[in-house]
Amino acid sequence: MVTLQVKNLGFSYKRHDVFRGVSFEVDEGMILSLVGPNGAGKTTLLKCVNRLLPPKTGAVTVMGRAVQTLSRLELARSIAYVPQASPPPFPMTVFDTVLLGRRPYLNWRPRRRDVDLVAEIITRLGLSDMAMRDVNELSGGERQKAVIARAIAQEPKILLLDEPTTYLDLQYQLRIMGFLRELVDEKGLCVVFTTHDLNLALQFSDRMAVLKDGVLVAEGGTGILTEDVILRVYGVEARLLRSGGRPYMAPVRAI
Amino acid sequence: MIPPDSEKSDTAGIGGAYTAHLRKNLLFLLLMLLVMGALCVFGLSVGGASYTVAESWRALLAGPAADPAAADVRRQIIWTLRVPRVLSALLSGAGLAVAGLTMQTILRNPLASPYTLGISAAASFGAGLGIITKLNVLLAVLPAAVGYDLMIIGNSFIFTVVCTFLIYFLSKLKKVSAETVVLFGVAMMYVFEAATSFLQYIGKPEELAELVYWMFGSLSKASWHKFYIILVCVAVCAVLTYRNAWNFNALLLGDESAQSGGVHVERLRVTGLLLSALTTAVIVSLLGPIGFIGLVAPHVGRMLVGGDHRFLIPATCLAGAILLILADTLSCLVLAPAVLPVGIMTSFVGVPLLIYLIMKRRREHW
Repeated sequence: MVTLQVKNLGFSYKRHDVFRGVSFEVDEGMILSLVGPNGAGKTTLLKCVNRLLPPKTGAVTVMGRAVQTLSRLELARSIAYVPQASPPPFPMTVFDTVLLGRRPYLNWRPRRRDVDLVAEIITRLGLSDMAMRDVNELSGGERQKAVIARAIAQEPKILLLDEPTTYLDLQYQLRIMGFLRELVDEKGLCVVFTTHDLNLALQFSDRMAVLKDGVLVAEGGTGILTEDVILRVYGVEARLLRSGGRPYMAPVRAI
Repeated sequence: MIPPDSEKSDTAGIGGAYTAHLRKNLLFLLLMLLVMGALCVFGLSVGGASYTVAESWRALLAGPAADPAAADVRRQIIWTLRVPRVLSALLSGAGLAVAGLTMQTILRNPLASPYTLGISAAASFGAGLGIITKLNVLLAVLPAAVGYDLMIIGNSFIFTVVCTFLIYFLSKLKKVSAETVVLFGVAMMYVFEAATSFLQYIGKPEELAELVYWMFGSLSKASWHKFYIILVCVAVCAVLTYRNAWNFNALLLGDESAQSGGVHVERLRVTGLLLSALTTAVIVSLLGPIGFIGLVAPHVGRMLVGGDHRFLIPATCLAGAILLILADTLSCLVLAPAVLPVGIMTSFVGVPLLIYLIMKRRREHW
């Protein structure tokens, strides 16, 4: 089933087009990675999908409904967004951070189910030892987990993540992506994430979308990422190698 | 999916730890309430004429005299001077504290407060404009005859709002960091202080005296009349702010996270800034500028109950009330029988506390 449909989406700041004519679909239980060089418009595209920014043209449909017609709370229950990392300016416990994901469902007092769900997510992400600690005291990787846990607690149909693995070491990159994969397979979630790490994208996504200068250059299965596409989009000569049935990208040099 | 046993016990443990955390916070609030009550009663007994705590307690219980001439002096002093004074201290402290907390959360800046953002200075300028030039800015908005007191309050309020929105729109401009907002607030403070100095320069001696007296924030100006105004304003602001507790929590993770969590960030900012400006304006215009409560009380609150605004807002209110009552009591005692303006004392109490808090923090936030 198509969960997220983006059709002919365009956005501009004043006269400068950030992206235009972007169309893609993501089915339930799928991960789509959005790749492209710096300034290609990846973050802006995510924000338009989430209605944080108003698109100039086109439409975004979630489970068959246009996002413009959803109320704030309906939207929050459908799409969760994890922006690029920015630590909170004040102390805040991991538990309180994750509990915020329940806000679209709360009247005032968190119910038993909310507390249990938050505790379960914290446990599954391996944060149970630091549940009552200030997120500012955690390492970057643990903090990123807490922020992602907040989005998961929102129980969305669609999870948008902006560079979720930047600043993380190899261990955390794989853990976080592996956890997302598990979650998608288990709950039929649909995930869209941006990244600069093409190998991570190749390993963990079902579909890829390549954005350059605001235009979708290629979109489809991971097979669309060819040496030619990498050269055109990044200006980098690269080799695609195969090992254990999976493709790997090895950069050679910048052209 | 059935989680393994270890995960299940972990999950239960986290739930339990959270419940314990909530209980601890409630206990802190209760303790603060007790401290505040005790300070109130003690505060009633100090002033121009000192009574023992027991004497003031008895006079307090006797209730306000129906016929002031017949009542004994003690009862009269307690009920016409000290009760409104202490209650005003309580409410103003709470009001300034919650205004400071709102500003810190909304601007995501631990240095924001009515004082450091120049809002107190703007209120002083508005009052000065009323006292010295008799210019009634309120008339432009409300074309009806208003009393002298109301004119000064109105002027203060309008300039407070002007100052608040200048800062707000600047903070919305692209690439303006949190530090820049505070710098801009400091700049506003200097501008309004310079403008007030200019007013002082052109003012007549008796107007000058009135303005200088006005600018020493003092609870000696408190009366039942003013108390009711502060009561209504602080109560409304505190309730409206408290209703946004969850939204404020969400805002700590940044605008985009909050918005994708269903918070109307723009509206929250505007209402929050307006509410805090209104509270500050009313208190400052009635009692004069009282610094540092708005800056320090939220930090005290955070140290005691953490970042959850459901507890932080009441804790900050209580901390502000306690601090101001304490400062007021000290200002009555230091040069007794003379009473110092409390605005002088809050800095003496607040600054060491602020320095202590900064030194004690494990992690720097600014």
